[in-house]
Amino acid sequence: MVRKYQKKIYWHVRKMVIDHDDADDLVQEVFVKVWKNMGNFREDAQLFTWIYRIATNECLNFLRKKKNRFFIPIHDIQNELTKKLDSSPYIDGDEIQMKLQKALLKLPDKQRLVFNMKYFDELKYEEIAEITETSVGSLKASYHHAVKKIEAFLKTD
Amino acid sequence: MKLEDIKKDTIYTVPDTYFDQLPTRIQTRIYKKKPVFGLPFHWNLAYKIAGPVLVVLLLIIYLGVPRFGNSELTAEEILAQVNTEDLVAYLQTTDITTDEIIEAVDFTNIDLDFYDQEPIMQHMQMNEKDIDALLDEYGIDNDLL
Repeated sequence: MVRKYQKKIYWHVRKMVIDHDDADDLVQEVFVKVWKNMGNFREDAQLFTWIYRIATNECLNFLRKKKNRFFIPIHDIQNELTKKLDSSPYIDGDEIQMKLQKALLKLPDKQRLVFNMKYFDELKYEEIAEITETSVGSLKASYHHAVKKIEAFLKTD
Repeated sequence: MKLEDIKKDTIYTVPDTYFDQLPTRIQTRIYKKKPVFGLPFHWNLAYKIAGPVLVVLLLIIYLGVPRFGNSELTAEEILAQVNTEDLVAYLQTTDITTDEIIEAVDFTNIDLDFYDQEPIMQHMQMNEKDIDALLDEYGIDNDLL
């Protein structure tokens, strides 16, 4: 199971937390939780959707804890993640790709999450709705706003 | 610039062989959290028994030490533990006379109404004649009693 889903889950987490070590730790925690809670898995849901939901919650909790720790304002977290984007040894992209990633960091965490799942992972709205337990309508609106913000940021400079 | 103009490829990379090793590392992490439930049954039982036994032993030591020592007992309590026969035997070996013992007794707090205390008199196994002789011997006025 780990071999089957590890890459998708890792990239999903990595895009949210940016740093490889953080992503590595979270992915391990996700699969430990999957293993522990396998008995609670409902057969009517897709296994992949269920694992994705656990990973998503882990990411949001991680970022929330980071913000709450030392009472760091939200823009400081954005700065911290942007710095990691510039300094991490495990990043290899051209200038425009880097700019897109920095634009993404300006979005609220949940909106960034929706954008990543729709744009990069190419999941259907119905799948994202199941993962995030949100309605398809609100997801469409969220994605639309995210795209507008990103394009506005890309036009600057 | 439009979003569609940007390549969708991920910019993130991982160390070489990262995904080859990840399943093993996850498995290790799972088994590291497992030892709590992983002890053999007899060891679990041993640990469960050892705790209460240790507590009981500590209580016995803690409560038993003062009892075996004389530090917290008063002189009266220690004497109360000695048999009357042993006390009499001890007193006979000393130079203390019967008069000295009687002089040491504080009669003000002792009820000397022997006649109303049948059990004491029975215990002493003395009749009135013996008592009168004893009172004469010690010069105690019978009218005072």
